[in-house]
Amino acid sequence: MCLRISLLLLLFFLIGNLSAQQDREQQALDLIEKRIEYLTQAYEESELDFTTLFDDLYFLYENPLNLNVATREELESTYLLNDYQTTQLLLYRDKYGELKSKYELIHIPGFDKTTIDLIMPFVEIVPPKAKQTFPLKKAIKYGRSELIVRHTRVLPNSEGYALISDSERVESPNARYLGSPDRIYARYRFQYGKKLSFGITGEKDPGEEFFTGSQPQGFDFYSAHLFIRELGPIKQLALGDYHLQIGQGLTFWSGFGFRKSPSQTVGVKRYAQVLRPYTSADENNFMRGAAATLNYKMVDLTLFYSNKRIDGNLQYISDTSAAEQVGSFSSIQATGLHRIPSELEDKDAIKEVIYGAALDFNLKDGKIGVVAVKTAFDPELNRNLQHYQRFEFEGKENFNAGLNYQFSINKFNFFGEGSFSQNTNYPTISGDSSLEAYANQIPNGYQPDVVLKNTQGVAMLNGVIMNLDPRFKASILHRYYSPDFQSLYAEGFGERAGVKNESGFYFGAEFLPIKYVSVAIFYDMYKFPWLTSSIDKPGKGNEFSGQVTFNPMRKLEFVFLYRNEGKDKNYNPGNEAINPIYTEKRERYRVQMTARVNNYVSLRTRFETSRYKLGNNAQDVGYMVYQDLYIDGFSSKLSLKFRYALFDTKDYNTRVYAYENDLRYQFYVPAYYLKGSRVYGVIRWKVNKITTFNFKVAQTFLSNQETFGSGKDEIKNDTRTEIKTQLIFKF
Amino acid sequence: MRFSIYLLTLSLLISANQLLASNNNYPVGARAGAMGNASVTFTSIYSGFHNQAGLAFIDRAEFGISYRNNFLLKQTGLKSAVFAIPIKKIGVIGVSINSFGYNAYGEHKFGIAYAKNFGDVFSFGLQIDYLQTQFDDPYGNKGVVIGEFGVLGKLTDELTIAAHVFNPTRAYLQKEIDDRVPTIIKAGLGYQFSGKLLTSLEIEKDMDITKPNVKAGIEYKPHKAIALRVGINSNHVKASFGVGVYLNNLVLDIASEYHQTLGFVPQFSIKYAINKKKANVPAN
Repeated sequence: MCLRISLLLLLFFLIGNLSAQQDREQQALDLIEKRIEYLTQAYEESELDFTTLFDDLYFLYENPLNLNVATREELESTYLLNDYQTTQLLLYRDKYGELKSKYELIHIPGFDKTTIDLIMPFVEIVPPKAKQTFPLKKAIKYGRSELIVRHTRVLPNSEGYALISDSERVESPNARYLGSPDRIYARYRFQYGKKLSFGITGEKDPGEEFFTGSQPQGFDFYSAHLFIRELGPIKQLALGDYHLQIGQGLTFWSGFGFRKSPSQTVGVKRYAQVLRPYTSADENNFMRGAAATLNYKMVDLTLFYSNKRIDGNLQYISDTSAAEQVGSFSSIQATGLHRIPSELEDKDAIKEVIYGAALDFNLKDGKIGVVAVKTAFDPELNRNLQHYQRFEFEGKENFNAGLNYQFSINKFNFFGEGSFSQNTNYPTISGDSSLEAYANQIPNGYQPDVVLKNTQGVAMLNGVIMNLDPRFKASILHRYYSPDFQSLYAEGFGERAGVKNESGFYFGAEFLPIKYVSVAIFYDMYKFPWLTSSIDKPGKGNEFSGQVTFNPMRKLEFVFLYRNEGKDKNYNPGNEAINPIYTEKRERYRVQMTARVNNYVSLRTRFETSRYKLGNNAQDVGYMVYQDLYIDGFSSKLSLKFRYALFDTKDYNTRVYAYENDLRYQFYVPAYYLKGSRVYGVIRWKVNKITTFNFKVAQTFLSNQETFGSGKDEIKNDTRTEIKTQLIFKF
Repeated sequence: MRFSIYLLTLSLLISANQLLASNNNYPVGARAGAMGNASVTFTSIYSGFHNQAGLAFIDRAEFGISYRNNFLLKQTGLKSAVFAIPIKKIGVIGVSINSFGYNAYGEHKFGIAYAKNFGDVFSFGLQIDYLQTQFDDPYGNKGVVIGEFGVLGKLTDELTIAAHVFNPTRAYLQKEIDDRVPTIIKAGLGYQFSGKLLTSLEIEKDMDITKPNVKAGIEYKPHKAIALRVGINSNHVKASFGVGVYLNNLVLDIASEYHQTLGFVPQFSIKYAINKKKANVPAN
């Protein structure tokens, strides 16, 4: 009897623990997604690659960071704490010794309840353990594997998949896609703590063939990586595919980097991790080769090499005297799509070699790093450049060198990078007839100096983050990227992607003026010293964003957002010889309410309006309203999310962006435009300990339009349906 | 309640002025300049140029001199001086003088102000100005008398609100060609997060310019003798920054504005308290 009761009790505790465990996982996943949603909420791109950030945070959930031993670097790499909080935590540890419990955190300056709630699933507070060694046997035994298989398809099929006769196909081979409209993605990854990671990823885009024709090896794109940390003097070792991210991204930054966002108003500083495993499916923006970081005391030396083939449009010029063909390429194809013969021709046409070294000095309150990178293409890039592209990269080789720094003084954290580029065989003005002709067109006295010096460029970024008060944080950032700065893998802070032709001042602030209310604002003023694709003169613009969050209670949240941007733009309705420049004005207003109705159901309602005005034209207005329903409380194994959205915008200019819940690892921010509705449902079901099943179906209906898209992507129907299925196995 | 009254006042002030065009009301003082001239809530002698109601909180005789150079051109300098003295039971009397330009063109302003505060919570200020526009021969000079009026309220220890009107009578400089002195309305708030951190926000509307100018500024004192400042303006688009040094009776401020198209506007100002009393660093 006694035994039975104790067994029952034991069972009860086990179940209790088990469900607590699952709840914790669910909670961590929710937090990660909320965090990413928060970061993405004002991003205006349809698909964002947050796989790496998701992986990092999920890894932290599985291997919580011990706050009693975590280094500054480790704390920064979590993206959860800011510099001030990190510094204060380290100071606190220095002063009072190790932390005893999480309740102690609240006494550290800069830590509030929200921060503590946010970090809790990803950190632990336990006595320091002995440093782990790297036993390979143990790694294989205790490591974890994850396999993801995903299938996506859009219905009905677009024109590119319609049937045509063989004779038509022979006549115009590029009129139809070769493969099926399915998108298939598979990824396997093995991880042992932070020490070891290896994996392989494969992806087939819609329209690409699969195990047939041009793709006998199956997927169109494969990526594999092996990544080892802390192996003797080797701090990081990457073989296969990896990301290289340095400083503030001016010299080199492969992969996604944060720019401006209403939710990251103060957090404009980048935390470069130098090397990280590459696990995404972007077919161009990564490194393929080998890299290693060696550590000696306070010095880190990173050597990297990458050699891969990228897509490009090749041109052959017959050189009769040499009796052979000399090639050059006219553009880089960054889409990664290989659906038709002409795209397949461009596949892997160019050899890209990148190599270099970075040296980092880790000081007590800061860091100084230098980096040098050489990029070479074979054959060389030879484009027919427009005037606005006058300073863009051309030729065979490019060299970049940069210096980056960060240091803290009191409540101020300074950071920045200076970078220099040299194109080793850029056509000079005297040798280039088109450039000479162009320079001659410019009337005397208006000839910009920059036309004449075009082989070297500089880029600079300097910023400071200030924790002025427990209730007030602010940041200031200045950047200057000269028009002739050339770096093909740079991704710095700015209005435009890449690092070129921009200068500006950015101000961000976050503050808590009264109880329950938090405010995040930024103001950015920028200039383009040279022409851009849409402005036929040196242009300028400015942008303001203000977001107020009102949290009267835990279960209820209101968000108000206002954004306003004014920017120069060509506008030539009268067909004049020279494009007149007008101001293009955009405004956005958003009101959002999120409420937890009971233990099972949450609701979110959003209303957003977007205004667009070009020059003296009438203002266009777009509206969007959506209702979300989340059901997650019945079981920790099942969650359901639904949305019904209505939108009415005049055209693409007044579009409204909204984050959508999607499959795990997928982050989707589509633009809602024209007139119609969109509805979706997402199911996430944890079938058993090993298997998780995700399913999404979404449908867009347009009431004033008979078709979606254009060309081969045209869908002749008033609805467009996406079906996404994903299976995740963990073992 | 106080807050809703404030909101009402502010909205009335903002909505009441969808009217008509120019510029004569120069901001003076490098402290304000560094904070984007979001200075309507400030209470120092330089309030003589921003909002005379701010003068009412001065507790001893002070004077200040200031120089600002617009866009690094020697012809566009602005020289200013101000003096103010509190008189028991009467209020604060101030005198200010402004001189812009060079021998071929100049704008000058001479003002006498009176300000009074009630219980250190509310204050108002009035100023009579003589404005003179000076041209090279053979055009000669032209003068006009105008008024200014301002109010300021300290709602809580943290929050100050204020409003100011420049030229409420819409005085003419030259009636025949409808050349009026601009009428400019400002309203703003200052929020003191702590003894070290002050933020201010202000909306300025020139009756002759459709778009209002939104201004914001931050002042941070890492040390009681040093202030770091930064500010922004929306119309025209400007950023500004500066430093202040507090030495007993003397305050030195330097700043620069940065105009997106026209460039830098460097400026400096000094302020001296005539009494021997230990310097009372103004909180606002």
